[in-house]
Amino acid sequence: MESVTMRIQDVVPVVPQGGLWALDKVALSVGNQQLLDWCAARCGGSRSWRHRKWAEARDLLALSQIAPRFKVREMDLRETFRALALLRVPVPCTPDAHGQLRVERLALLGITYVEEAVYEPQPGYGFVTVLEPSGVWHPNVATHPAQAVCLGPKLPAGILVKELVLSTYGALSMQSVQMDERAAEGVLNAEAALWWQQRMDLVPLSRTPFLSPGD
Amino acid sequence: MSTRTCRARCPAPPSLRARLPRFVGGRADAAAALRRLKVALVGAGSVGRNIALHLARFGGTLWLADRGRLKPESLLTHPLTGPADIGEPKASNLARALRACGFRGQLFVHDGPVEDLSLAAFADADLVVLATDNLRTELWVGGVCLRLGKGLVHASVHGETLVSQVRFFSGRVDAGCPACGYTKAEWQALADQTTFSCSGFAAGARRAADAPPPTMSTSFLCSLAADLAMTQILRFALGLGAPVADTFLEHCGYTHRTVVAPLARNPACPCDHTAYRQVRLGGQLGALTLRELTAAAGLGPASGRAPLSFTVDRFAFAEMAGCACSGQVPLGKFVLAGQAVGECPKCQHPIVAHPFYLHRPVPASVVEAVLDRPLHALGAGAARSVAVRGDDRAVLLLERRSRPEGVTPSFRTWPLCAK
Repeated sequence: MESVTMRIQDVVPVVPQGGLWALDKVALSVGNQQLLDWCAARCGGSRSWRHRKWAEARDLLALSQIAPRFKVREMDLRETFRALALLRVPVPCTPDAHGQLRVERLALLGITYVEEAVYEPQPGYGFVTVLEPSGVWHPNVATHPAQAVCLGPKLPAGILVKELVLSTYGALSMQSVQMDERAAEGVLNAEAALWWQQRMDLVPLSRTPFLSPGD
Repeated sequence: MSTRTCRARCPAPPSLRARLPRFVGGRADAAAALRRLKVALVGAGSVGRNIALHLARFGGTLWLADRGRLKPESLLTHPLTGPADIGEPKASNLARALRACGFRGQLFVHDGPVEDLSLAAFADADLVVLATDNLRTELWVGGVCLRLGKGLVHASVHGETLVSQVRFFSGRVDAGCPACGYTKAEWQALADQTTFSCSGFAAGARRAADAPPPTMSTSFLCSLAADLAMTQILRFALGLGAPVADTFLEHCGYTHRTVVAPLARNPACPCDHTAYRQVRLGGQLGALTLRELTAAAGLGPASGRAPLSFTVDRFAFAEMAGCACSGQVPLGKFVLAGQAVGECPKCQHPIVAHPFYLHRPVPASVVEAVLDRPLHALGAGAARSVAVRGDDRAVLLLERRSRPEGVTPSFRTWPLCAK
């Protein structure tokens, strides 16, 4: 019992007071600080855009420190903000030959944030793509190879990158999903939408909150 | 019909000097100066159409851009329109009307969103006039004018209060842009006007289906705004009176009061205020390599704090492409939004550029391996402009001679005699 308790304590994130809105209070690890500094040295664009990218990058690294299921692999601040990140989340994939849904447990995400997103609304499919696994079977994820995730018909100007990560978790785990194939917004895979409409008992794939260590 | 034949058949308009007064403090060659004016007009609606008719009387060169078509309600406010014009693209219809009024200057037309055009499309204009209610278009045109250092005249009306407004932005690097004056209400209106559909994803573009409300105004309020804008343009072109650059002019029909106030840059404006130095090159840009273009821009190789980046016309650089059967494959070329980039060697289906690996602008380090290949070998032979940016400096490289329309949207020439 004692050893189980210790194991759980190992993975419980230390969430700052103020929650996800106080990520600036999280002291970055040496490795993350080095990554941030390296990216900042190569950050391009206007002054305000450079500052914004730096702030978003820092928040993303801080998020990875307090959220066991989220890890930043690479970041690129040269022009458009880009990040590669691993997210532990159930990802529905193309059913096998017997019609059984395959569920992968890990997603490699490509996160893109253009400068215009700071002051103009953007389409919901414009920010996150699932690079791995391939064959994602989800109403709001485009088919391979693009596999863009639609996070809503329109995302507000200035949306934060950490909000995109949380929304992506909610979308992939199907805690928040739009599957009316007749709707113009949100459905990027009509075939998957029809399939899932017949299997609502499987939705959501997980009820675990983002910061919880479980699946 | 040849231009010579056309000119022979179409009577020349009378000389502007027959009616142009000798303005107080004006210049002796005022008519010639006005005839040399080159103006790009964005918005061929109730205000823009009036402005175009006035500008046409000067002679000169006009570019007309509007995405819309004439509706039955347009007849209530758009001059020189009739039932037969309903359904026609506004810019083309206006061009036809200008020619019918005797305008013989150079005329270029774009029937579509102005955001589809590149910076090069506006490089030859002396002034840009904005007469639209579309806030996204305002932002985009404002950004273009800042980059090119072009003066921007923005004419608008508020029908309910009988207010006409003209904002004149100088385009200087320390000057304001339309967004500098936006309040919360404008930013919210921008958000409300903008809609997207997933068909935009299929088209490979972040295409917004803007839905600005129609201009609720009388025809004469619109023409008043146009007339005020023309007065500012005249004063700017001829240097009459106090400078009009970076001023805000407002007339209220309820009180008949006119207010003039300065326009200043808002330090908190989120838009990029970097001005691009323009360099004109002989020959076609497509024949040059990115390294040669960097040298022509006078910017050194990537060094120091900020690396170099390239914006090649409307092209994005695709690092990777993919197909459902073959996964991701390296690509390494410039592509246009929604353009098929090849065929999968396995299944022969079209492969598409992967959105995460699309770069626009593209950092120099991403294209390091192809810096010495000419643009045409990289799929961007049709590029009419290349922006090179490093640190806080930016250079826009243009061809010395503009080419006929190509694969990227551009203004098309409206002939002297056209139906």
